[in-house]
Amino acid sequence: MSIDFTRNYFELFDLPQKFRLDILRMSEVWRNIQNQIHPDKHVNGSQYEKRLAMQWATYVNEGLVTLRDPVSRARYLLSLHGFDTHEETDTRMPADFLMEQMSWHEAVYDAFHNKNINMLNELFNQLREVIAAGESKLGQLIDDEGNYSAAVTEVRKLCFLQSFSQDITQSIERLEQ
Amino acid sequence: MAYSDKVLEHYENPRNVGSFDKDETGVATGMVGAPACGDVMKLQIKVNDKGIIEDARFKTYGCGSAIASSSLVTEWVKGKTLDEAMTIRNTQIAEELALPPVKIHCSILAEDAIKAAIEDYRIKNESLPQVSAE
Repeated sequence: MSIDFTRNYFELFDLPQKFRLDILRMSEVWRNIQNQIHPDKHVNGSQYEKRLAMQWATYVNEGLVTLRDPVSRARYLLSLHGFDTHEETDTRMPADFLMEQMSWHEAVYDAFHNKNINMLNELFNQLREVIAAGESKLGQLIDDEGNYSAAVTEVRKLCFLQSFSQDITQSIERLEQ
Repeated sequence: MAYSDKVLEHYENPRNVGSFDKDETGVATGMVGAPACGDVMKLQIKVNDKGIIEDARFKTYGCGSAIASSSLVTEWVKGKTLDEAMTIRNTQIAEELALPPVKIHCSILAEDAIKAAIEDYRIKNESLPQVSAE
């Protein structure tokens, strides 16, 4: 495979520019490329060739990491369509969503202080379901409807849910210590 | 990462934690969130009939800097008019708490929470008949 940094990550892995993705196929293509550009193959190459192979390997790895995670894949796809999710700067979210987040946090706080690991596990499982539903909605919004502005909101919601699921995991780990 | 003394002070002794009844006269609520870190902030103000914020409450789920930023602004807004409270900038919050660059978004969250609460107050009250101050 020839080196071309102008190809986006989907083109790089020869995949359709869609949210719903054949992860197995992507991993296969990734492995093939990595085999071709492994630094060991360039031991006798020039400094320039070695450096280029290194940069290409980095680019390909970034592509894999970006496309593997559903939220980062959606964020990347939206950026290709000219939509920014403004996760650092825009603090406005639907009020009912934020209210729901508040009550989830309260439930986790209570469960943690009551050392109720079962409750935390249950909340974690509920959250996983909500996240899974959000990810499937992303597929619908991006691939089926091309409704990118609604997909931006969905990505932003999933950011909260992902970081919240890390909070619950940490609470469980701290209680289990 | 080490927190500044001022952040720790607010974090350990947060001011004005809690809630007002959102339907009480003069109470307005601002809710905001930062997708990048998952922090959620609720800030409430209680405005008297002279248009002065006489009390404030907050509830924040987030890191120490987010809690300190919201605690600080609840102190700052008390005694201010709505227009004065609108002028609070995140840079002032960040400076007061000596927030590092990676925590600037916590101060943005607090500024936006105040603005959202004031906006909520104005929306709630614009439908009321205007009374001229004699």
